[in-house]
Amino acid sequence: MAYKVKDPEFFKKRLKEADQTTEEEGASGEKEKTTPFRAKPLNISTAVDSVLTDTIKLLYEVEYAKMAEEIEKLRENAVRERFTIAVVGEFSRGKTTFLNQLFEREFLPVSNLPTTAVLTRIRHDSDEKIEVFDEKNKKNQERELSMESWEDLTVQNFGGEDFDGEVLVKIHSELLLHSNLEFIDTPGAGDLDETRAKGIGDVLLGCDGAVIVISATSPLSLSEKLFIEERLIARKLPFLLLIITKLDMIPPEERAGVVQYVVNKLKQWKLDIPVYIPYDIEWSETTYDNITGMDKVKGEFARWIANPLRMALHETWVMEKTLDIVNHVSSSLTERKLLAEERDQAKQEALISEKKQKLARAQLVWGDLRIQMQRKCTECCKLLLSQADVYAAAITERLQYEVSHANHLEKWWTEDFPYRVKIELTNMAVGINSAALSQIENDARWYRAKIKQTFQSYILYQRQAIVDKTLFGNFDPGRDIEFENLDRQRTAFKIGSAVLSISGCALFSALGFLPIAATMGVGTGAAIFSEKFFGRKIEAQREELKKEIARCVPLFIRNSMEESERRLEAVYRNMIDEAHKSEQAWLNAQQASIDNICIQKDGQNAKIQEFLAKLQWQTDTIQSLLIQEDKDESESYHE
Amino acid sequence: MVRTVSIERIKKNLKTNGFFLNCKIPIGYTAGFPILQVRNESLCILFPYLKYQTTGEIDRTLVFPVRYGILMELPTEKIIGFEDYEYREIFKNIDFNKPVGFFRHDAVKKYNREQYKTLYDELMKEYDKVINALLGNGNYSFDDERRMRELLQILIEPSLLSVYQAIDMDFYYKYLSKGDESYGI
Repeated sequence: MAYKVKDPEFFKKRLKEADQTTEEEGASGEKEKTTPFRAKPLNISTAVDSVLTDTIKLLYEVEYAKMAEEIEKLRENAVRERFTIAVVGEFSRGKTTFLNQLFEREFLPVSNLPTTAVLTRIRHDSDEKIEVFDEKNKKNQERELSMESWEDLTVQNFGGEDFDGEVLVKIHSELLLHSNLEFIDTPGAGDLDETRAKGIGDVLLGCDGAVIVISATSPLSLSEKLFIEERLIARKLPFLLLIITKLDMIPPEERAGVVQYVVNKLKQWKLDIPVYIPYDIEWSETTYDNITGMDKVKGEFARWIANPLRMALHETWVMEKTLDIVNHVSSSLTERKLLAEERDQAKQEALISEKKQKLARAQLVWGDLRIQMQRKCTECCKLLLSQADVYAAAITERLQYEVSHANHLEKWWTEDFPYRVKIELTNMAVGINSAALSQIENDARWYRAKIKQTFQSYILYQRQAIVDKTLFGNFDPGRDIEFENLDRQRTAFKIGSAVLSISGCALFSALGFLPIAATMGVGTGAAIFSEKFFGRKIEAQREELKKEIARCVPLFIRNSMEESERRLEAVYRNMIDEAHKSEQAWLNAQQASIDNICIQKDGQNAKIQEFLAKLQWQTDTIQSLLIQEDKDESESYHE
Repeated sequence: MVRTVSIERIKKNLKTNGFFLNCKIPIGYTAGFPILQVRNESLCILFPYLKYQTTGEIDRTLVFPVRYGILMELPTEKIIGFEDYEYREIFKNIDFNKPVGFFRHDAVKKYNREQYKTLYDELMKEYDKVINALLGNGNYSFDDERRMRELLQILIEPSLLSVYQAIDMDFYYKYLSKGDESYGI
């Protein structure tokens, strides 16, 4: 029988974690300094990476290990941020085949029938396996990476029952490893019920890019156009490319025509999306060598990842956070110095005691601010709901007016109405989004100001330091609660896109592409009015349609607002969490200064002074890098 | 109680192991610095085999890519795997007959034979310590880990690092990564 190893995760732990283990085990007995683990600087430049490493080392040196660990975490988060690419398209367009060919191995199941039933994430791992997660995102199975493992995970095996979980495929892949890429294979878009369509919509919100797969045998249908517009363009997915599969299934002489047709269609629809053919193919005359081959597709991925704007966002995010932490430490060190300078033992003790009391009070204020912010979230939701009611009434009125003037009611109801609803809801989404963002911005500003006020009223010594040492000229404790740059863009579009996705669904359902009207409790188009109804007198029809509009429009909006409300709450929760992190950092720094003053030794003041100078230097370096980032960002924007 | 494991003894035993002899690793190949892994909660050691070729010039001995791997379970020393990396997908573009670097590399040039041997022995002791600690037979402190990391980073040929990374990411990031490489696709 094999011997069980004492710590199975030992080699997965980096130096710092291993240190903690040995300390717990009492192997060394003494607390030792740790050396930071340096991961691959993929999303941040060497200059930023080097500044972060120096800062971490310095913080360990000044015995602010918790703060150093925080920067290490930030750095690792920035570095390890995956670039997620979703592979999307209608069913049986060859999405999974594309992925198999991309990785040059058959590891995902394919067949002529719709096959992919669940969202399948593909990540690098040297230990290849399949992990199955349930709808609560809890891992409930691990399987070997083989075709047999997929047997109960394909569409044919669900027999009408939905599996709402996800599958994570871990494969050894150089492509994924060196670029921190992650792919998501999605079920066919035309193959989804409403819940799963929404689920995929949510996944797309978290993606950096998407590969749209279309088949040469039925290139760019109207529903595909709508899918691209509603689910990808409207969600501001920054990187898109379109690939044409199954070109080998049409005669060689027609292939160039299909490609040209797709390119022209995209131009005609004003969709600026590059087109690629991922497999080498035989052409009769015109060839498309410049867009043919998997290497070209990989090249496009490489360009996405290397996009300077993306790196700049990562860098700004991590540097701003680091700057805050450094500022906290500087503030705390200054206090230590001032407290230690007080030679009278009794006075020093009184100062420490006063500081402890202030800290306790500050904690209460922090808590109170959190509650107030939660109230503001509720108020914001109420405001948006009342705005939505106003929109609902106005849209209903407009549509009823149109009904009363339409000559061909059946045509209006089956063709114009879904389109009008889409337009109205899109406008409403834009309006509500903008109102929500403005409200959020106001609340964030308020929160930031309050936190700053709290800091200033409780850090008395720091004011002196500003005057004396000009250490805190740029001290802005509220910086944390500005949205994280990385999430700013995504979050901003989440609120309105819920409305957009519903309006998209409404259109689909009316056109008969997605049978979701029943599940939404909304009936549109011919589905609810029979031929007999349209045989009635026109005035009676008008009245019926007006009633139906009055019933279904508010219902559409209510459905969409429920989702929007959930997302709005998430935005506020993020802000509160961010501030909470800042609070923890501040409290840790303050507590450390109290703890350290108690073990202050002679001659340490000079050392503190030296550390303060070093921290100032780090602050200056980070700030100069941030200024450079701002400059680069605005230059690339103007370009 | 598990008996104390010694890496030097393992290497010695390996040379007379029937399975190993049947693997027919060509003459001239020698074991590099081993990789430690945990598989199904069992501690395993992987000996990478590579070739060195002298050229008659000082510090110009050719180093060839790691070609074979022998995997062994500890403390039983049972061989549980043999692999010729030429057949692994990830190494398909590697020419195993083409040297990748020279011995001695820059980091060890400053040491004479004796000093090198001292560092090598120290590293082997660190291997022993971590193995025995993981088998519940001793301690492995933070200092040990830091030292092992330092020694490996001095002694291992930089040209072999990418192979080590490809063979075992965890071992690589724990002991070998200096964290200053630039990556991209």
